Amino acid sequence: MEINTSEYNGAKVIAVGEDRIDAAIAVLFKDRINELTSGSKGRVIIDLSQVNFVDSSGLGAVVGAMKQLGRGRRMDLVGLSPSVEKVFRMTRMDSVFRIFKNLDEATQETVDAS
Amino acid sequence: MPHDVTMNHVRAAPPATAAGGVLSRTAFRATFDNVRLAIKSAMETLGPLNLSDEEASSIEIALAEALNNVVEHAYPDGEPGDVKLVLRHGRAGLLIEIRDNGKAMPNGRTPNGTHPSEAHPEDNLPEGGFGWFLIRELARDLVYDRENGENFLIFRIAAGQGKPSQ
Repeated sequence: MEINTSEYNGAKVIAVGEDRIDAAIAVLFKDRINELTSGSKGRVIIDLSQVNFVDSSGLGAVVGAMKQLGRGRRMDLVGLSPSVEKVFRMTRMDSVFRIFKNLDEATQETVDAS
Repeated sequence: MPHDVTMNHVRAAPPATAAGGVLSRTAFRATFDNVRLAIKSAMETLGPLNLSDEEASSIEIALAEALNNVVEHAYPDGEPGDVKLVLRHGRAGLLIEIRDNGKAMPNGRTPNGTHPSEAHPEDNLPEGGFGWFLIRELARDLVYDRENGENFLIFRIAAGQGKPSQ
């Protein structure tokens, strides 16, 4: 699975380099996010700008990954394609995450909040 | 007389049935990887219909959920069987027909697609149960039947209406 991590402004940015987060990779995806976020603290931003499609399994994996972070730790999403945004909106999971257009917008928010 | 022209045009329209012509027929072993390939191929097949992004995403989402359900629920364990997919395009939009020889739907009916947070109010962060919710939101005229050990699911997506099939 293609995933790259970086640090920005106190947040761990996880950029998903997959075209799809679907049933074929949902379990793997959740495990990888868990691996990459366990043992660290602070805000996590998932960059989905390279992801063109998410099905309900992929959606469940993103929700599951956030739950694994535990209380008090934020997981925000950036770069949702219209199709991905549609799945989050239809299932009302867009209210569960804070969703930003891009990393700049998401990290600008961090600056504002500090 | 523009009005008459319009009327003639309607009458002169090709005698397409609501179901329309077959765009593609595929059969494949029911695995998540094959579902991914089948969706990709289906979306390429639909290319000539010049669907809007909104229409295309509705089709892709409904198709993914319905096919994943076959992998997950019709063939839950053991050797997966085959799934057959037929796409038709006609006056009424796109018709998606899916057949498999796996387990029947629970109680012989398709799930009613309640949003998981309504079905399980104690869980405000559901990780599953969205599949049928999404299908119900996107699909029209959904029919499920089972005959001679075969599941038959057909539904319509209001997309590509009024566009020529070829």
